[in-house]
Amino acid sequence: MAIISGTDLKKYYIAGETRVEALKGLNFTLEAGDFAAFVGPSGSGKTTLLSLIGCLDKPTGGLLEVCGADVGKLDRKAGARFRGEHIGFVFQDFNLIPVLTVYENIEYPLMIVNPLPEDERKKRIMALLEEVGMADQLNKYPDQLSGGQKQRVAVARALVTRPKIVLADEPTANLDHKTAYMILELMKKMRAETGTTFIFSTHDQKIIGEAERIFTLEDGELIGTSRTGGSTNA
Amino acid sequence: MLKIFKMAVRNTHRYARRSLLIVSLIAVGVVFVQVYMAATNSYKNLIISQITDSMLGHIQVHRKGYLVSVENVPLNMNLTAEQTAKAEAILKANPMVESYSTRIKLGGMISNFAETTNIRLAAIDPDEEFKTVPLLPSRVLEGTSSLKPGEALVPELLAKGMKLKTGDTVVLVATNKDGSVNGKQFTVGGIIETAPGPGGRDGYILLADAMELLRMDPPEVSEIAVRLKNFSKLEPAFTAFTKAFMQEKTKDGKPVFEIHTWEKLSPFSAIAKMINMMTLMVKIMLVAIVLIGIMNVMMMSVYERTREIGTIAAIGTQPNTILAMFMAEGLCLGAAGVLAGNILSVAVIYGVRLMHVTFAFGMREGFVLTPAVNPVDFSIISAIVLAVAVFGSLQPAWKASRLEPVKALKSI
Amino acid sequence: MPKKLFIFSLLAFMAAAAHAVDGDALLREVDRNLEPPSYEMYRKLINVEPDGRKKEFILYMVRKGNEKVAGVFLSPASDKGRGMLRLGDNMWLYIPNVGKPIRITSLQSATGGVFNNADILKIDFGAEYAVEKMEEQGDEHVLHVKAKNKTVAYDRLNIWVDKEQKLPVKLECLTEKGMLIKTLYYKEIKDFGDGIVRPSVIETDSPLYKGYKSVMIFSKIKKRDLKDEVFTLTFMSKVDTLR
Repeated sequence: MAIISGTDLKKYYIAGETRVEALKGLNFTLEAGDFAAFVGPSGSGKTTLLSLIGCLDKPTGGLLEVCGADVGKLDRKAGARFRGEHIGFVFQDFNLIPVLTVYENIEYPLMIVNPLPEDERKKRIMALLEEVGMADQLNKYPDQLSGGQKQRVAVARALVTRPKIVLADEPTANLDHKTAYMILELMKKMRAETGTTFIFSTHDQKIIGEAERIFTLEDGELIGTSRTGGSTNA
Repeated sequence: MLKIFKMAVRNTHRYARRSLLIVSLIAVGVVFVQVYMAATNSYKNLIISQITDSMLGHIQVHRKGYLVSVENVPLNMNLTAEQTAKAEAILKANPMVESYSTRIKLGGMISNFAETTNIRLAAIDPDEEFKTVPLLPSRVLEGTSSLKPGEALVPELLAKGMKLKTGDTVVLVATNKDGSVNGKQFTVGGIIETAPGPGGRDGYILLADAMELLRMDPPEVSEIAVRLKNFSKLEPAFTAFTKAFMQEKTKDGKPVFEIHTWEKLSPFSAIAKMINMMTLMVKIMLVAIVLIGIMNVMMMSVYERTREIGTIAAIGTQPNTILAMFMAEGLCLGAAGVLAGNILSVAVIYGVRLMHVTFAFGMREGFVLTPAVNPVDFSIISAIVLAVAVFGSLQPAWKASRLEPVKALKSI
Repeated sequence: MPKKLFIFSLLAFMAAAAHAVDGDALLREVDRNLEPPSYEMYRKLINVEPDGRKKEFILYMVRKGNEKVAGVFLSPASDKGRGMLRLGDNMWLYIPNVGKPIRITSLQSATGGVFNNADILKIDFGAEYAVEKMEEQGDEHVLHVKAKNKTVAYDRLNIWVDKEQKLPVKLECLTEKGMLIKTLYYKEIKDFGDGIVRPSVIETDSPLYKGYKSVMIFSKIKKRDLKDEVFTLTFMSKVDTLR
């Protein structure tokens, strides 16, 4: 059962006076538990595609179904709720909340977005902290952490609500290679333990190799998909 | 909810200097308004109690038509004995009345034999009068306020001009109602200080002496001054009295009495109204300061945290929650300003009290300003500031909640 | 030509001078026609209020020259015994209740109504006023006079004098700037005997007391020589004994 399916998916923007076709009619599916990468040069539309899948934006043409829902039909409030329940995000710039500690950053979704009673919260958070190896830093603030540490916290935050899908837009762009691999290994491990679908975008060729499925985009079009190994066309 | 406030407080600390500035601004505004209100209330109340307690009384009752000719001290506009009795009955029946006193007002001449000049007199019953106008005795500069038959309290300006001292003999000459003139020798019982406002330069004699001087038979009364138990209930008392007094009608169906509060009888009420107007202006200024200050700070905050807002929106925070987060911040800033402002205000108010600031009014000096901390005023001002702080953060918070996560995430 | 001009101006000057002399002389004549310099007289004063109510006073007066005038009220009972004295520019009021006279001014009124103390204790016009201008108006001369000093009650008077009888017909009392204070109307000429022929009624009204009217009725004016001691403060309570 496809967890994500796009049918003739289109998206355009108005930039000044010109109309930019970011996605020109994509057709694709992803299965639950996939560890996939969207690759392509800048402007190829991968960030746009991730935004659409993450219900941060709405398609201007075609159909996009995520976890069985037509995301084009979700209004602002429904979209926020959908994201809170089904989607986790990991950002290129980490985007941790500066005034919250490590523990509180991970706790945030369970307090504000998807509330859970305190003892259950604590259990979950501590477990995740252990998994990402940040249990001894739980009272530190983001500005006291290194890039890699921050991203680990971000991954924990993304997973704390047990989403079906985690979207990561260039998650390793601001990390050195060693740390980048570490993050990817972490994400794979979490996928293995929780069955969450991971989708990340990147244009780092070395990272691409870690993905099990690769979607290649160019100029708003899907020019190829492949499974681990090499790449095949369409 | 608590978490939102916890985050709000932490966020205000994040921009410590900016928050400190806005909190200080609000605090200064609050101090200004609270101290101003306390000082002007003290000033107003002092003057009003001077006027009402040393001369006018809270309310006055006359025969209809008296007030229009009050400058002429008309003798043909007095209340008859019967009308006076009716008025007294109405006043006795009302539990809000502390006391009342009847007076005869007359114009005439005062002479020390060598010089004769005009004088306005008020004839009183000292017992009634001092209950109704308790500060009157304190106006007596020399001699005694307890008038005996044949004694007169002479206003200080006249006493100075005619070089009169306590114990001197004077002649009071009055034109009677029928036009004839009568005179009588009096002893100066005391010298009385001028009070601000009309009637402030009257001399005082006993009712019985006035009736003799005016050859008044049967006895009449020019005005009845009324003192209420509770001055703050002036309006409802006045309404009740007006209703009762207006029911008394002459044979032609016209009202017998007219009744006025001190405000209608003294020009100071215009000043009091002006002071109230200025207080309102100051409050409006405070509102503007808080509103603009908070709006400014919150707008900057939202702008600077656009990406953060995009992040929390992305991870599923509802727009209303984002709205609440920012409004909580505005509220925190307002609350901190109010708290600091109120504490400082209390300190300043007590400081002013300790300084024993004095001021003059009319011919009198040495009024001591005693501002007080009024819990009701403090609460109202605090509530206003908090409300405005919330209102001021509304627009920026609304904008924050409406941000498109995609666009917000792209910003710096 | 210059000679003719000189004679003409001389004649004109003399005519003008003659006129000025005429004015003061006329005023003196009016004074003498009204009252002998020393006399006793009875007067009734009536004050009429706007609503029609009347108050009547009867006054007995004695005068010696222009420096001494005294009077006492005979009626009504409420005012009986009240005395007034004028010595030069000073006036006193005596109220029996009070026992001792008090000093008052000419503009105050001991009776109420439109007449004031100066009207009641009147002396010669010529003693207090000088003629500034004289005009003709039909049967009457009009004398415009000005007070000789500041203590006089009225700064200016306009007096209409009948040309034939040399008696006043109307008199206006004015302030220095010409504002009207009151008007006196002289009426009903009567022969009081002893050569005294003069108006027996003076009516007064004033724009300052709208609706009020006062009337003075003279009865009995007789020449009489009086001792100086009559015009003293101590005699004020005994003026009545002269009658």
